[in-house]
Amino acid sequence: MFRERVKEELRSPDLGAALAALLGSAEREPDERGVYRLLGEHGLLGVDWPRRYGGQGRTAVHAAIAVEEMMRAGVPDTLFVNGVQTVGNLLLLAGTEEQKQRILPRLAAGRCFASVLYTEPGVGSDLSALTTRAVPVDGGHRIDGVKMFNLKSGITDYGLCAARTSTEGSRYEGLTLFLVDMRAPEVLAERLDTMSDEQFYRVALDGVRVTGADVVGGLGQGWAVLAEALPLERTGLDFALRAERWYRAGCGGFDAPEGLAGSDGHDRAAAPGPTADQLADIGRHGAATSAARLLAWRCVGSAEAGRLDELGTSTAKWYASEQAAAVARWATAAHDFDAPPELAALLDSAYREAPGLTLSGGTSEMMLQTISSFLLAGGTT
Amino acid sequence: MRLELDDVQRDLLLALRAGLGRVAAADGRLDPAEVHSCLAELDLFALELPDDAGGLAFGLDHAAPVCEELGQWAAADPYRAGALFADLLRAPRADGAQHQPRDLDELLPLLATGKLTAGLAAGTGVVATPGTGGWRLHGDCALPDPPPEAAFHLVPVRHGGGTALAVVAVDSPGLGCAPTGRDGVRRLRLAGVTAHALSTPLHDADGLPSPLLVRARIRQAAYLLGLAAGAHRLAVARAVTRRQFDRSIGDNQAVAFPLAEQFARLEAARLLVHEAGWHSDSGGDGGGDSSGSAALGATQSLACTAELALQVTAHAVHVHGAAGIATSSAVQRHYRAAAVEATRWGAPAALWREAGALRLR
Ligand SMILES: Cc1cc2nc3c(=O)[nH]c(=O)nc-3n(C[C@H](O)[C@H](O)[C@H](O)COP(=O)(O)OP(=O)(O)OC[C@H]3O[C@@H](n4cnc5c(N)ncnc54)[C@H](O)[C@@H]3O)c2cc1C
Repeated sequence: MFRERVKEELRSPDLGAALAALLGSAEREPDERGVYRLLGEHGLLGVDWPRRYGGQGRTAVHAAIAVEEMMRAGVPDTLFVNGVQTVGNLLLLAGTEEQKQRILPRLAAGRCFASVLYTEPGVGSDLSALTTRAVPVDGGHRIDGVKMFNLKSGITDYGLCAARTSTEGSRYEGLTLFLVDMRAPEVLAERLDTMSDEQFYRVALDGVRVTGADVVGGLGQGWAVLAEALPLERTGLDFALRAERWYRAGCGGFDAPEGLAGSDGHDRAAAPGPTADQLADIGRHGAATSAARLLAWRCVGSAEAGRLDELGTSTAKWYASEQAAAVARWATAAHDFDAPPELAALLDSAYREAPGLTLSGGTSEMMLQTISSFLLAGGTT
Repeated sequence: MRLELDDVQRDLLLALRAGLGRVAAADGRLDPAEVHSCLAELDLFALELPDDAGGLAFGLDHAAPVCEELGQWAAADPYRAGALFADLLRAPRADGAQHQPRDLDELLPLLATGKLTAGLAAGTGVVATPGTGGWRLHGDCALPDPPPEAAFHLVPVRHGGGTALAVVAVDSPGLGCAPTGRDGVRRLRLAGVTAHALSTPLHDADGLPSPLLVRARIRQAAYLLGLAAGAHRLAVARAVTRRQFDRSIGDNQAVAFPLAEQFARLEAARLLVHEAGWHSDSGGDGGGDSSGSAALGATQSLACTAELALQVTAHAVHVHGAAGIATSSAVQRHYRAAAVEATRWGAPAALWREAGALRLR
């Protein structure tokens, strides 16, 4: 079975050791690129990409299984979600043949990394208002502007940057996506401290030059490409997996109550049984966490069948991110100061990460906006 | 497990929807006798029964969409009690009868055609004691309106081994049935009634729900899901058509967003119900991987849909404004049905505790 094979790869000596070292690091946001290189060597990054672009030529379902097992093994997933899934899949969808050949094999090999440069200081939910300008110059465009709240930009090679190439027509027209070389001297990435383990970056683009070969999806096509690509990153699977991990942690230390305990006879004195309220919460969060995963997997199935729709992905993203955040809060509150140090650290990290989940990748309100517009237009029957 | 309906499930659903649509009044109201004949015409009473009883031998993955559709109409539903009755007859029983008494044996084919229907009582007030000639039942319980021609009632009874389900004939000596102050609910009085049959306890010594209870909970969850989804659909329609301040009320996020949230929760619940049905059909008996078991699936999906039905139907009335309270409005029927159906198999909080305990196993 593919899942077993993925698990085996993750347990292989080189990858296992590198992952253990990363997870044991005392640093707040240790550099995971070494682990990613090994994930690439073990064929775990471009699972559903065509072989000619360095992938394994498998299905979206296989890719989702690989993601599940990587996350369960503790692989930090941002380089994957932002780089492989968001940038990589967008290139696969809308990139030129040259771009695919230039970038995808190295992304799949864990030898190059990409980040997403959409948000700006004054622009978050309403991307159509963005002000970063790309003006035509000899041999291409020159980009000026400031991008905010992006992750991993300090260690990535490419940034997928949304910029305005025209002010004519509506605000949705005239947006273009560019691949920016993050190592160019005109690109300045500064860390922006956050309460979460992962830090934001503020990226100043100070006249950075791009050529026609760096335009993704055509000049002025930015909005259309984003509209088509956004559902691909919103299956909710990454959020559902966070919910799952934190739910397990939240249940840690609680033992089965008498009556449903079975007769294994092991000593329960060390762990007092949960109260009735705790038991009900364990039931509730368990069900919602399972449901989040089912919703995400339904999107994976739709993606596989080429029927991924915005209603399904918005539903899954909203539900899974809200549930993950709720589990983080519940699990933190359910364990007091007696929690063993490892559990306490995990739950603390979850609690600090939780508020970002319902903002990143489209806020909860934007998901509800999408769902309700389908509902009110009669598009759900 | 498939996460979308297959063609057979969809066809079944559409046939039932069309059938009910034909007999429904303009406000969606359905006469219980019409619901019964619609189910019988479509051969749906045979859905879960085995071939040798004239059944179609489908699983819960096909029964759940049927129950959900009945819930969508807030229809009086003879299906769930009939299917439970059939499960009870087919399962090993507490009276140890490996072969049924003849009269019980003949009931399955009648259930398969819908010629026989049963009421399903609720509550903990009836006690069973072994006596000469079988179990004797004493006490009171609630009986949500049974189908018009019900010949038997299924009554939850307590005895030394826990709670079980007893089958009693409606014309049993010692059985009384009276209206109550509560809408849609009657009171059953049992004074030394002899049970025709008694199920094994609904929970085993470890607290695991029996397969009989698991299946009943899944059907109930599907019905409640439909009840909530039906009310939600009415609320969405109202949000589009009702205009205030020169725009649809649904153009306000305060109206639209809760409906969107509920849509997501209903989708989530539907997957839980279907997963539970799938586990039950594939023989998940509660052993093995606890989080994947049918027992957990049934318990959590019932708890989840019961709470959703209460919440979504109430909110749907609210979206309708005062018009929603008038008995001429369809939405209040969903709200009132939720009160009866949400607690039939126990309060949601108790079900959540049970689900939590199953997760910790
Ligand atoms: C952890 C994390 C990682 C991120 N990574 C990246 C990245 O890699 N690259 C990148 O470009 N960006 C990234 N972002 C930024 C993210 O895309 C934005 O946070 C998001 O688009 C929302 O924008 P905002 O934060 O400016 O909030 P705002 O748009 O200012 O919204 C603030 C609040 O108002 C609500 N709101 C706004 N408009 C409406 C409306 N019309 N109706 C109802 N409510 C509304 C929002 O839902 C939100 O709750 C990341 C964010 C987070 C939290």
